[in-house]
Parts: sequence; structure tokens; C-alpha cells
Amino acid sequence: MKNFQRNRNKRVLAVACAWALALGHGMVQAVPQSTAETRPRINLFPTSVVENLSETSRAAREMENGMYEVVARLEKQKQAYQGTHCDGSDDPGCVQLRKAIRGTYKEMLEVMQAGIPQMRRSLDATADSMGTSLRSEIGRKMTPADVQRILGGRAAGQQGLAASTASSKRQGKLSKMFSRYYELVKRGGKQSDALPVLASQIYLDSMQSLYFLDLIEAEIGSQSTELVLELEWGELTDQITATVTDVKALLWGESDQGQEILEVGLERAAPGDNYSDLLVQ
Amino acid sequence: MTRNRRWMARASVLAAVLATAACSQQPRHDTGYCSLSHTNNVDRLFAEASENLHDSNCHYHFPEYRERLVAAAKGAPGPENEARFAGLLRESIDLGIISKRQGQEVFSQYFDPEFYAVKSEPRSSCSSLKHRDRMQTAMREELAYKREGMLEILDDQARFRQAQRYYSDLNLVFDAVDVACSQEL
Repeated sequence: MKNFQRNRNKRVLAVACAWALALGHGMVQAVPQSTAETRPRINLFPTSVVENLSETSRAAREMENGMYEVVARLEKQKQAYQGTHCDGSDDPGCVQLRKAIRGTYKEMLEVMQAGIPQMRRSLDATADSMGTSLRSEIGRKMTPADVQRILGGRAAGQQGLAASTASSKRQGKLSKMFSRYYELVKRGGKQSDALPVLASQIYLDSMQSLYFLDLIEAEIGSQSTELVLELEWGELTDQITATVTDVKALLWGESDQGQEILEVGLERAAPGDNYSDLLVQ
Repeated sequence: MTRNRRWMARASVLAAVLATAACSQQPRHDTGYCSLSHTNNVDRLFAEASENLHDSNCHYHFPEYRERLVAAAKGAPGPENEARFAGLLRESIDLGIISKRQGQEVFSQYFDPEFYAVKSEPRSSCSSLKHRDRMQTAMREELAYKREGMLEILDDQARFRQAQRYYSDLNLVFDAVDVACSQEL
């Protein structure tokens, strides 16, 4: 009977130890988790943003493909017109060239007009979702100091410092830019310190592209097909040049500085210093 | 006669003692007492400043010392200047001349690539960015201090570039967050 009691006690003790161990293990696992939770967490790129970026890149590529040839033709015709001093001339060749330019310009507006709704939808969606992310994840949840901490990589365990892309001006080919953004966002987990910069660039670029779309759309609206066909080249020069400039700025940017975008977050910060007591953490 | 002589001798000893005591009790904050010498030797200037600051009469000379030391350190730029300034600031904090926060502010403004003006903003980004102009002005002023501290005092171009990167990245993010927050209104 005593033996039975002893065995029973041993079994109870073993079960208690097992529970204690299991709970202890659980506690050990929970500690780092709660420590991690004290760091500023950031989720700037939910799936919807990634999908929108992919869609914008595709829509931009389609629009560019349609536009490239017609804009290049228009540029050549314009050069020929200026090169042969046709401005104000009634020479039959010049009249023919003016007609050709008007025709190409009309074609460009039509291609643009056809592509704008899809482009606007995807840009709107990207700007909307990116804006919501920035507002909720950074605007409301973080102080400017938290943002600086993330840029410095301290939240991600003393990681690298975000390399500057310096400018919020949209640069480079639209589709290429958005496809780069898409690629960077897909592998963004490894460089979390650079994500606010990347998100901000995408957001500002989307907003700027929408602004250009508005300009172009307004321009197209003010130039009915009849007007384009009837007006003389001389009277239309400024309008055509302005519209073509806007179209080119939207689709191909000022210069291709894509390499700079790829450098985001790839640089390493200098090791910590010996003056932590004199620095605000 | 002998008595008179003895009295004279005692009187002169007493006069000498009194004169010495009077000299030693002369107000120490006379013109130039707390001032630093005209040397350009940075080490000597830091030592003088440190010594003077141990005298409470010289505490109010702290801003003047800071200016002199910054100017002198610019004349002999190098990484060792960081430790000199850190040492003097720590001493000033310990002596109660400046608060710890003031010490951190001065040190950060000159030598930390991150921006003190941003660190001291306690509110959420959406709220803070309503006063964006103020923060931007403070950051621009701080960048000028960092230029002095990192380039002219430490001769550390890499660190200053890092500060510039923070400046441009923070401004880019603040631009975007500012627009995003205002879109909601």
C-alpha cells in the first residue's frame, strides 16, 4: 500500500514537473516575443499594395508601348519641320508636313485617351493604399523620432542605414520605375530600415503621376479633334509642345536614375560610438 | 627702544599677513579672471575651461567657453575633439552647470548624425507634421551645427554624409506622411 502511495506521489510529481517545464518553455518563448513587440513595428506593404504596384507597372508598360512609337514619330516630324524652316511657310511640302504632324498628334491623343482610364485606376489604387499605409503605420502609430529610429536601423537590430534617393521628383521610365518598386517591395523584408523611404517615394511618385495624368487629360479635353485638325500649326505649337512635354515627363521622366533606387537600404551604418550617455536613444 | 622695535616688528608681520589675506580674498571674478587665455592650443584651452568651470563664479561663462572651444577646435580638426567636448560636457553636467538634457542636446546637435530636433518631438507624426515648418527650420539649423561639428571640428566627412542622408530621407518620409495625413481631412 505504501509502495502504491509512493508510486502515485512520484507520478504526480513527474506530471507536475512536466507541466512546470512546459510552462517554463512557453515563458521562455514568450519573452523574446514581447521584447520584439516593444520595437516599432511597421507593415507598410500589405498584399493589396504589392498587387497594386504590379498592376500599375503593367498598365504603365501597356501605355508606354502604345505611346512610344507615336511620340517618336511626332518628335521626328517636329525636328524636320523646324529644320526646314517651315514655320509660317505656304510651301506645299511644309503644308503636307503640318498635316502629318497634326495627324500624328491626334493619334497620340487618342492612344493616350484610351490608356488613361486604366492607368488612372491603378495609380489611384496604389496612391490610396500607400497613403492609407503611411497614414496608419507612420502618421498615427509613430512619432517622428520612431521614424528616425527605423531609418537608422535600430529597430531591426543595428542594421544598415537607408541610402538616400534624395529626391521626391519622379525619375525614369514609369513602367520601369513601378516594376523596380514592385521588386523592392517583394524583397523588402530584408531592409526594413529603408521601407519608409521606399513607401514615401512610391506614394509621392504615384501622386505626381496622377497630377501629370490630370494635366494631360485636361489638355486633351480642351483640344477637340476638330480643333486639332482645323488649327494651323503655328497657332498650335505651344499647346502641342506642352502636351507632348507632359506626356514624355509622365512616361519617360527626366532621366533614368533607377540604379539609385536599387541602392535603397543596402549601405551599412558605422559601428556604435562611445558616447551613448550624451545621445538621446 | 627695544620694546618699540619689537612692536614695530610685530606690526610689520601683522601687516604682511593681512596684506596676503587681502590679496587672496580679492574678488576672483575681476576682469579676465574667468576668461580663457589667448592660446590656440586646443588641449590647453579645454584644460583651462575645465579648471575654470570648477569655480562657481565662472559657471555663467559656459556659453562663452563653448564658442571659444568650437572656434579653437575648428583650427585643429580631428576625431580626438569629440572626446574633448564629451569630457567637458560630462563635467559640466556633473557640476550642475547644465542639465543632462542640455548636454545631450549640444552633443547631439554637433556630433550625432541623427537629428535631436526630431527626437524631441513627442507627438504622433500626423500631429507633429502640422507644424512641419517649425520642425524643418530646426532640422536645417541643426544640419548647420552638424556641418560645423562633423566637418570642421572632427573632419569626418562620412559622418556628415550620413547626417545629410538622414536629413533627405526624413524630409522625403515627412513629405509623404504629411500629404497622406492631410488627404484624410
